[in-house]
This record gives sequence, structure tokens and C-alpha cells, in this order.
Amino acid sequence: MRTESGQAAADRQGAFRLLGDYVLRDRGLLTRALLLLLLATAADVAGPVLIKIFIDDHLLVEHFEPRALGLLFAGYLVTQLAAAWLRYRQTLRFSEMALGAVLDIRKRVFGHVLRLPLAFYDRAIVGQLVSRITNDTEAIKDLYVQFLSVVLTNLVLLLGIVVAMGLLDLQLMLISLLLIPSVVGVIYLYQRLSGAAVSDSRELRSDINAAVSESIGGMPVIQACNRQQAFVDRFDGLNDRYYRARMRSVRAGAMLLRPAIDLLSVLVLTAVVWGFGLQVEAGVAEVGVLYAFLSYLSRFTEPLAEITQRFNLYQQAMVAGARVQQLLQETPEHWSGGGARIHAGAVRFAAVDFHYRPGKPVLKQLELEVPAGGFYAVVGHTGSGKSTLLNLLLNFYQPSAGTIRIDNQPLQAYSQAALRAGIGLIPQEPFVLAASVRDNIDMGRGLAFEAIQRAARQAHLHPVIESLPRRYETELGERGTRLSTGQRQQLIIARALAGAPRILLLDEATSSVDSETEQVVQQALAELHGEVTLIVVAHRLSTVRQADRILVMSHGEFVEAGSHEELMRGPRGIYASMYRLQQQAHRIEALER
Amino acid sequence: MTLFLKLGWFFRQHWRTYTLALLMLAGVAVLNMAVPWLIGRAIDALVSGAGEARVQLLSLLALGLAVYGLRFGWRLVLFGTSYRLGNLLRLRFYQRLTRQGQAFYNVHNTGDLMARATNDIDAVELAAGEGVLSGFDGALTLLLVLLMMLVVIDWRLTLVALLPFPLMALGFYRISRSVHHQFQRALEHFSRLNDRTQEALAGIRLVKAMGREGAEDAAFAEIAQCAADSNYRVARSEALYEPVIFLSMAAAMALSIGFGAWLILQQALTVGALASFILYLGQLIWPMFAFGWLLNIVERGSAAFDRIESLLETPDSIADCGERVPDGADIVVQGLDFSYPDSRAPALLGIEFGLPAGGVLGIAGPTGAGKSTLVQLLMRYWERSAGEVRFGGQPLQALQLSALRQGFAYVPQDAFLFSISIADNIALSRPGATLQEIEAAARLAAVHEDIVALPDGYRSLVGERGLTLSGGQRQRLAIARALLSDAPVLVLDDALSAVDVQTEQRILEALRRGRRGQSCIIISHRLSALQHADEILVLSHGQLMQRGDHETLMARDGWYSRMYNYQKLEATLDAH
Repeated sequence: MRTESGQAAADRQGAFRLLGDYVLRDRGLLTRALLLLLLATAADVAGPVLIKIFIDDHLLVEHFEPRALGLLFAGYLVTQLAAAWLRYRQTLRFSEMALGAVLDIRKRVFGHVLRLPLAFYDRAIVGQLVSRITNDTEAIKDLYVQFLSVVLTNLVLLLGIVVAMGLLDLQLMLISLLLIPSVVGVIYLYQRLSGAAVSDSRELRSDINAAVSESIGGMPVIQACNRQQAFVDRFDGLNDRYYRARMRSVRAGAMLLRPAIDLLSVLVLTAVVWGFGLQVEAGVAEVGVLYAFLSYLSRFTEPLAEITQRFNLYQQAMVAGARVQQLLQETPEHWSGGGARIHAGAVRFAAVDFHYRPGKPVLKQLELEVPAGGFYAVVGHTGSGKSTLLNLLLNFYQPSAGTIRIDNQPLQAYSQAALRAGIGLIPQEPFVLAASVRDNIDMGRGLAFEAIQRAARQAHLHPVIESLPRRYETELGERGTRLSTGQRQQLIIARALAGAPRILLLDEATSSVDSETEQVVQQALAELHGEVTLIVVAHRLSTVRQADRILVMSHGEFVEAGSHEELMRGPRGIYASMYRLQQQAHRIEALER
Repeated sequence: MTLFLKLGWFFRQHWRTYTLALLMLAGVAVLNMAVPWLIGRAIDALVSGAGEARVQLLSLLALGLAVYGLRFGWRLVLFGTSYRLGNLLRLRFYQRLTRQGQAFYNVHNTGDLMARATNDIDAVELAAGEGVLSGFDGALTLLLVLLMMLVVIDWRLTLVALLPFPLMALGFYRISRSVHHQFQRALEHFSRLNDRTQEALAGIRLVKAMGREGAEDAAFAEIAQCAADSNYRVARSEALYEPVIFLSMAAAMALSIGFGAWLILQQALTVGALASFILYLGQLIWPMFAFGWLLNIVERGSAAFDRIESLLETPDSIADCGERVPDGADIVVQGLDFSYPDSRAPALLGIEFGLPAGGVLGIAGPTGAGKSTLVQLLMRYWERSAGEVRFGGQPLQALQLSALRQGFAYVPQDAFLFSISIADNIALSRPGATLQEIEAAARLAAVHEDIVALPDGYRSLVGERGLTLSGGQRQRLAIARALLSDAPVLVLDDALSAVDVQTEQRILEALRRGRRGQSCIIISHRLSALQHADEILVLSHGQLMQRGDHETLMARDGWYSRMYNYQKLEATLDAH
């Protein structure tokens, strides 16, 4: 419990530092904004002072010299216009600061998350991550835009008003000043009284949402059990509790927020007039001062109310900031900057052990040697560990024991760029970006156009592309041209080949495609045979028939190995059984058409 | 404003509370008018040296307290009533949901329904609370302030001082329009940002395999920049509000002081009256704001109310107008056709079969053949297109819906558990079942040991805030739920798919022994589960492809025998 709250405090501190740093990041902009703020406030509070001078020095003594009056009027005009303009500029500066900070935090978090190891993504929920990157940073934006700007502005305005009041009349200022501690006291009381009610109603609100969403999901069950009325009653109970919690917080708010602050301001107004009365008795009163005070007081409560209302936002933003900070603290992938390059493409696994969760080994003492240019296939059950093999080779995960070598160099010797350039992956899902054909093959690697065309030719896609309306610039994806499944698969192959990799990995690339598409893949593989090292993980055995060597994996170990013919010779082997099973599957499919 | 007409029934129903709230609001407005007036009188009394202003100041205090009380009161009454409206709409909405069948849920996705139950109801609530407040209070304040200015103080001064106000109103109107548009744009950019992030993170393997981190960074930066730009435009428009108010007020102030001074010189105005006038001027900002605010929330509330209303008025997708109850539990299906509402291809075509009470029917076939649709039609989750289904000797339409549903204990494909205790989840089918009965059902479903091993046993909570159970455990709990009910027909819709073969056989064996004349319909991909059925229907593309018992079907080369052999081969491979 203690460590938990300690962690929370550390998070808050981290969030505070994260958000605070951004305020100070662009000192020039901050200085300009603050300067504008001070000038605007000065011009603002000068208005009532000028009116006071007019009343006391001109109106009441009936002294109307045109030059002085004109000057006064011009002064009023200039200060008020300047105040409006300066305040506008200052607000914009603060918005700029805030949005700049949020933009930077967003980019930083996004970049950071992208570079977290895949093991992180095994635990993470994508929806939650997205919400961290977008919603939580949006809450931080509110902190900067609303809280920083509004609170700072109002504090300075309050200060300006107090100073102006003090210059006009110290006694009356002191009376007005009473308002500040009493408002702070009222707000404190409000927080104490309403805290529980507010958090109760927030919780009940999310309970209501959960109840609706759960009932929608489970409606067939509710109806099958004839329990509609019971669930309606349950929901009604929840609804009722929500209403009562909200009424509690409305009551606290009505007792202490706006009505109380307005009452206090009426009290202070009365007190100021009373103080003025005392001054009249003493013969030192100036009516103009009272005018100025009336106009200041009418603006005095507003900043106080604004500030208190923003504290809620502040709390939310701090919670969001803490979550973002937590994410930024995750350790990103580690890549060595070794200068090694993949030349030939020979792969070797030596005594490799691996587990995702301790106690549940996925690969056990795995030995594998693929010569450069070899075509090796790995087949086996789902969950036998075959895709894990590829994950390790791509350095998405690191083995818990043993070594993986490419061209006789350990995997760690390669930089990320070298590994990505040397290994091409054809994944199970042919993912097409909403971008041009060219961008879809290039995938942001900045390849030469010749390389892209060559890859398209190798994948037999070039003629198809040439027949498209804008050739390589044709837009694909949802709003663009739709490719057939086979063409999509060819595009993915071209994408993998465009980087001229020495090793090509296929991860179940044919498990959910029709046989026509499978032939496209098979043909491409046949042509690449000998040129590039091929490691193919497949569910469909027809894809791997031509492989030099087929390895049958079971429970993290290779249990059979050999060419298709060799493996078929042992009728009791797993491979032969798998083959028969697929034959049977074809027979069933034939009936299902 | 049609929103207030549409909500008329609610206002009429609660006219007493609304009248009370409006009276209190009016009281506040009237009393507030007296504050500047009293201050003006106090100043005049003090300046003229006519003595103290004790009376005025004491009335000011009393006034402050009275206003405080009224403000407290109207908040409770007005907001309380609007919350009641929200509650009422939410409850009605929920009741509608419980009366809708699958045709409805196919058209409306959960996210959309949730949005209506939460955001839309909030918007209506806001219109009925704050909307009424700002409309009424704004108009009243405007009226009273103008009255005080024109009648009590000086009509000439009022006309002169109010010159800048139409400009302020125009400014508000134009700003709020551009803020609205820019805000929409900002929302769009935000959702693009969401989509982009979602896409990148969902495809993280590809990003990493292609070394696309840099390219993704750049694409994200571009959209994030767009979002920042559109947010900046919103901020820029919103920042205009303040200068507009400030300048209008400064101009009004200058005009009233200047003209007021002239009037004082003419002896047509006192110094105190001018002070009151200036205080009144400040009170005019709120009505200007209120009207803009009012338009905004009423517009939103009315769009939201239309969306809610359209759902509240959606008729039940299954009409419950039958009056009879079934006699027995035999099922007869003749020439049954069915197509889903949005598709032309029939999901079921010419299905015929009968299931006498106490019999066991197996249904097999490839994915998408219409197996689940068929059993759901028996329970009227959908309305058949043609043909006839009779249950207990009655056509389905002639039966009370609840009586029909009581005839079936249904275990759907994905076992659904509610966020309540395990015991309550099982007892859902028979509220009031004793713990012994619940345990007996759990034992039959081979899940009793699993439950006892949990920290709180049968009282353990499941769901979001409770335990996470495995798919197999969930399925067995759902089966226990069905077994507890004494419905004459038990329907298992591929309900054992996540349970291992041995457990499946144990459960089926227990079912065979424990059935007290109960009929049973079993849909299963694993054909071994159907072996003991009296009759097995093999569906394909919505039509009956084969039928017969296990032996007859195995004797012929067809889908059933081929699939059976496939699964046997698979089992031997699994044994490796």
C-alpha cells in the first residue's frame, strides 16, 4: 500500500517535471507572453483610475478645461484599446506555447512507444496505448491552455487590481482584500464537502456505462432467461444512486460556490460603502475613488471564481501527465551500433532456449543451420513455436539461452538498419497502406525507383502496375484502387524484395489465401530459390514441397527433418499424417463449395 | 426551440417544480436589481451629508442573504428536475433495449447505442437545466436591467450607453459560428490522429520488421501538426470573445460617464444614480452571453433528443402479441425460409424437421451454414421469412414471448457472463435457486471444482472488476446456467468448443444421464459430440445437405463422414 502511494507520488512528481519543463522550454516566448500579460493588466486597471480622475478633478469641481479633458479621453481610449489588443496577443502566445508543448509531447510519446520492444506489446492493450498518446495528451493541452493561461492571467489581474486599489485608497483596499481569504476558505470547504460526492457520482456514472454496455452484449442471455425486468430494476437502482450522488454534489456546489461567492461580494461591497461613509465623516472621502472601487469589485470575484473552477482541470491533467510520464519511462529497445552487414545470408541457431513466460518454454535447445541461399521450411501445429523462430531471427525477442548467428556474426553485432536491410519479412496479413503503389513498396525506406521496379518485376507485379491508371503513382487502399488478394500478396512480396534482402522470411503467408494466390507465392519462391536464403513457416504443406529441407516442429523441438519425399517415406511420421490430414481437408472443402 | 415543445410532456408533468424554480430565479433577478439602486442611494445619502446610510446598508445585507437563499434553492430544484429527466430517459432507453431482438442489435452497434445512452442524454439534460436557466434568467435580467435603466435612472443615458451592445451581440454571434466550424475541424483532426496511432500500433510488427519507425514518426508528426494548427485556430477565435466584451464595456463606460457627467451638470442626474447605472451596465454582459450559450445547448440538445427519440420509437423487433402457452415441448419445423434483413441471399431455405419432446437433435455443417440462425429462429430472436415453426403444438407467433423463451435453456456460442457473482451468474436462469441446486448444476457442467478453487468460491465476482476466467471455464459456467433452468428444451450452440475432449464427453455423458425427459439440440463442430443424437442435420449454405443418425451418415460418403474421419486423423496427430 505504502509503495503504491509512493509510486503515485513519484508519478505525480515526474508529471510535474515533464509539464513544468515545457513551460520553461522556450524562454523567449514565455518572457514575451508574460510581458504582454503585465502590460495588458496595467492598461486594463488604468481605466477606472482615469475615470476617478475625471470625476474627482473635473466633474465634481466643475472644472472643464478642454485640453485636459481631451487628454483624459484620449488616455482612456488608448489604454482600453491597448488592454484589449495586448490581452488578445497574450492569450495567443499562451495558446502557442501550450499547443507547441502538446505537439512535442505527442511526438515524443509516439516515437517512444514505437521503439518499445515487442515484448511490451504482448502485455499492452493497443486501445489503451492509443488513448495515452491522444486523449491524455489532450488533457495536458487543457492544462496548458486553460489552467496556465486562465489562472496566470487572473492572478496577475487580481494583483493589478489590488495594487491599483492600494494606490487609490489603502483603507478601502484592505476592506476589499478580505474577499480573497474568505473565497479561498469557501473553496477549501467546498472541496472537502463535495469531494466524496463528486468521485461517487463519477464512479456511478462509469458503472452505468458498464451496465449498459454489458447488457447490450448479454441481451440474448437476458432474454433467454426472461430476466429483463430484473435487469431493468438493477439499472434503475444504479440510476437512482447516481441521481442522489449528483444531488449531493449540486447541494454542496449551490451552498458554497457561485451563490456563496456572490454573497461575499455583496458583503464586501457593503463594507466598502460603509468604509466610504466613515471617510465622509472624516472629511477625506473622494467620490471618484468609490466609483473606481465599484468597477474594480465587479471584476474582482470573476477571477477568483475562474481560478477555483480550473482546479478540477489541473487535477485531471496531472493524472494524465502521470500516465504519459509512466509510458515514457518504459525502456525502449536496445540496438547495438555495430557496423556489420549481412552479405551471404547463412543462419545458425545454436542451443537456443526461449520462453515468453517463465516455466513455459517455447523453444528448447533448438539447433538450426541454414546455408546461404538455402530454402528451409518449418511446419507444425499452431503453438509449436514456429513463428517464434522468426521473431527471434528478427530480434523482436532475445533468446533466454544460446546464440543466433547470421553470416557467423552474433545477431547483436548488427544494427537495426543492417538487420532490416538484410532480412525481408512477408507477414501473414497482407497490409496495404492508403498510399501510392510506389510508397507501398518503398515503405518509407527511400529506395531508388529502379530497385522498386526490379522488385515489382521479381514479384510479377510490374505488368499489373503498368496497366493501372497512374502506374506506380496509383493510390491504393480504402479510397484508391483495390487489388485482388493475389495482387496484394505480390505487392507484399515486392515490398520485401525491394530492399534486396539476403534472407527472406515467410510467416504463414499462405495460410488464408486461395490456391491461385498460393501459386503466385510458390512461383516467386521457386525463382528466388538459390539467390536468397528462404525460411518459410507454413501451415499449408503444398507451399513448402519444393524446399531443400522441411523441419517439423513440435513443442519447441524439431522432431522430423528432410525433403518432402524423404518425409513422406515414413508413413507413421507427423509430416505424413499432416499431409494426409490436408488431403482430407481438401476433400471436405470440395463438398462445401 | 422545438426541443422545449417536444419535452413539453416533462415540463407539464413537473410544472410545479419548474414554476418554483422560475419564481426563485425571478426573485433573484428582482432582488439583484435592488443592489445597485441601494448602493446609489447610500452614496447619495453619504455625499449629500444627510447623515448615515445605515438603512440602505442593512437592507443590502438582508438582500444579499435573501439572494443567497434563493440561488441555493433554484439550483437544487432546477438541476434536480433536469437530472430526473436524464434518469427517466436513461431508464426508458434501457427498457427499450431489453425489448429488442437481434435484428435491432445487428443494425445498431454498441458504441453508437452507448453514445446515445450517455452523451446524448447529457445534452438533453443540459438543455432542460442550464438551457431553461440561461433562457429564462437571461431574458429576465435583460428586461429588468433595461427597465431599471430606462425608467428609474434616465432613458437618455440608457440609449446612449447601450449603443455598443448590438455590436457586442453581433461579435458574439460571429465568433460562436466560427468557433463551431473550427471546433468540428479540430475534432476531425483529432480522430485522424487517433486512427493513425491505432493503425501504427496495431501494425507494430510490420513497423518493426520494415524499420519504419522514422517514416511513422514523420506521418504522425504531420497529423499532429494539423491537429495543433486547428486547435490554434479554435483558440484564436475563442480569444476574440474577451476583447469584444472588454471593448464594448469600455465604450459603454466612456459613453455613460461622459454623457452622465453632462446630465449631472444639467442637474438631471445625481452622482449616486450614475454609480448605480454603471453597476447595472455590468449586469448586461450575462444576458448577452446567455443567449449565445442558450442557442448552442438547445441546438445540441435537440439533435441529441432526436437521436434518442428515434430509438425510443423504434418498435419492438419481435412483436409480443401471442397469448397462448405451449402444450408440451415438441418442435415441428416446416418449409422454413429466412434471410437477414440487409441481405438478399437466404440464410436458411426449406428447412424441415421435427423434434419430439425428450429427443436429441444434432446440427452440423461448415461455418456460416446457418446452424445458429436456425436455433435462434426457434426461440424467435429473429422473425422467420416463410414456413412454419410450431412449439408445443402452437405456431410461435401465437405464443407469449416469455412463455416461448421459458421453453428453452439456451447456451450461445460465446458464453456471456455478467459482472455479478458466479452463483448469481448461474442462477440467472432460475432466480431463487438454492445454493445446493446451483452446485449440482455446476457439478453436471464439470465446473464445480474450478469454482471451489477460487478465493471466494461461488461468491467470486466475474467480469471487468472481478476475475478473468478462461474460455473453457466461461463455457462451462454458461452450461451450468442452462442446466439449472428446468426448461424442456436445452440448446447448446457450439457451447463446448473451448472445452477439451475429455471434459466434453464427461458433460455430455452427465447430460444423457441427468435429462429428465428434456429435449436437447446440440450444435457442434466436433462431430464426436453428436454421435449419440437421435437425428443429425447437416446444413450447408442454409439448406439441409444430409440427415440421419450417426451410423446412417457414416455409412455414406458425404460431408459428415469425411469430416468425422478428418477429426479422427487430427486427434491422432494431436496425440503425437
